[in-house]
Amino acid sequence: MFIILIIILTIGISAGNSLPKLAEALSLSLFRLVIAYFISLIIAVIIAVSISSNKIGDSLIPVFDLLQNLPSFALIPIFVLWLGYTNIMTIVFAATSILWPILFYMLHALKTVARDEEDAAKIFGAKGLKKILFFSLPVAFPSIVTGSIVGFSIGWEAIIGVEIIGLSSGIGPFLNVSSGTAGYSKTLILGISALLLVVFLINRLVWMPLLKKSQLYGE
Amino acid sequence: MENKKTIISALNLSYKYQNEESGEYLDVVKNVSLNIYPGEFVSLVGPSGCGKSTILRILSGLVKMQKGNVISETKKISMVFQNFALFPWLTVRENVEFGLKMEGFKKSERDKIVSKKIEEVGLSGFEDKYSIELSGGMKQRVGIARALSVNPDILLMDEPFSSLDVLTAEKLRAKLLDIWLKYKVTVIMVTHLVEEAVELSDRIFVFAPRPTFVKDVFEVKIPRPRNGRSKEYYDLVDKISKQIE
Repeated sequence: MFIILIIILTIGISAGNSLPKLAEALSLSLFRLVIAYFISLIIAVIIAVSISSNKIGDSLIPVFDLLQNLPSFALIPIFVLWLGYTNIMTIVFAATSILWPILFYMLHALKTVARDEEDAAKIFGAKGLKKILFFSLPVAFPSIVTGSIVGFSIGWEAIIGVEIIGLSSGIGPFLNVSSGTAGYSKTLILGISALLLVVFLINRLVWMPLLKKSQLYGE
Repeated sequence: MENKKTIISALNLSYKYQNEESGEYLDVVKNVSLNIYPGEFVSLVGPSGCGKSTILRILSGLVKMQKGNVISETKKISMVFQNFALFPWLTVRENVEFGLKMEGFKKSERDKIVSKKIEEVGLSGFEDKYSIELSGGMKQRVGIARALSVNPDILLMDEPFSSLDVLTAEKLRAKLLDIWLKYKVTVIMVTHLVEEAVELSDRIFVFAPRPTFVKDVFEVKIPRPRNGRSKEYYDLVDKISKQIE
């Protein structure tokens, strides 16, 4: 981590005023990603909780499976037609690809929960909203974490992809411009190093503690 | 006993299980009738997989009744599970508290009841442990404390000692007997161990292999605490075991 930080600082300083530009670009992309992630998380939780407990849910799973397998970049033109190359379009597009891993991991967890545990929840009065809050969500917690880790990295891809294709702001264009213009290779290395650092920090500070928490479940 | 009011009784229960893939029906329970009286300790014994757990689950309402009738005067049903069924994301204290929390008890009331139950099952000092940190015996103590915390008038136990080693099971049976004598809660316990049933029960229902029915009912009149080495104990164990074979 420190090595990356040192690389960023040395290159950053030697590359003149690109450091503030980089910080701005990276935080804008991260902002888009975080919003998209939370939208996906909420939608995934709502879908998973509401369909895991009934028969209709089972027939929806193949449909979701098909949608998930659709190459997401093939959908970019549709989103562009609908929303243009905008912030909102980037977020909505990323959200549609982050959604799937969270949803599938969650559905799996809720479908395979031990019958005894579910019976215990019922016997001790967990019904309706109480069941969702105090049983289903805790049961699904490890799968939400795993799905989120996968989803978040897919999200980076989606955001940077759309940014490079059609946007002029964010880390995507920062890297793109750096690669396209002679003499800018320093800023390209700088951009990628900074991205690595952010990914690493999110991993360490967000996902690792959550993963550790879900180890409680490993019986 | 025939004139006494039952706390829960089943009349001509029948249950078919449908195989999800083939769609075929399998008879599990056939015409089972049971009368359980308040304060009794009743065991349901029978060969493994005969359908006695299904009967317990029908009585508890966990499994939807198909045919027959259950007449219940119970105010609060509680249950102890073979594989403990603790919630791994909760500590010992939070597991024991679960039922009270669902019922909307205030925090202060919950704390009082929970501490008492944890002490009763001998888990003081382990309140903040998670189930992954506990041994099997300790897990089942949590299971029993959780079941008792909601102040049930009937306690259903599904093979509660079958996942434990012999020594732990013996200790825990003694503990259960203490608790039962103290609260006089009605207990219906499913087990495949005849010795266990004879040691604990007032009455023992013997079930036939699937599709199951009540083959015989035994009243255990040996005074408690029962000495596992006495002749009358072994005679009864033998008599019941013969029924099961």
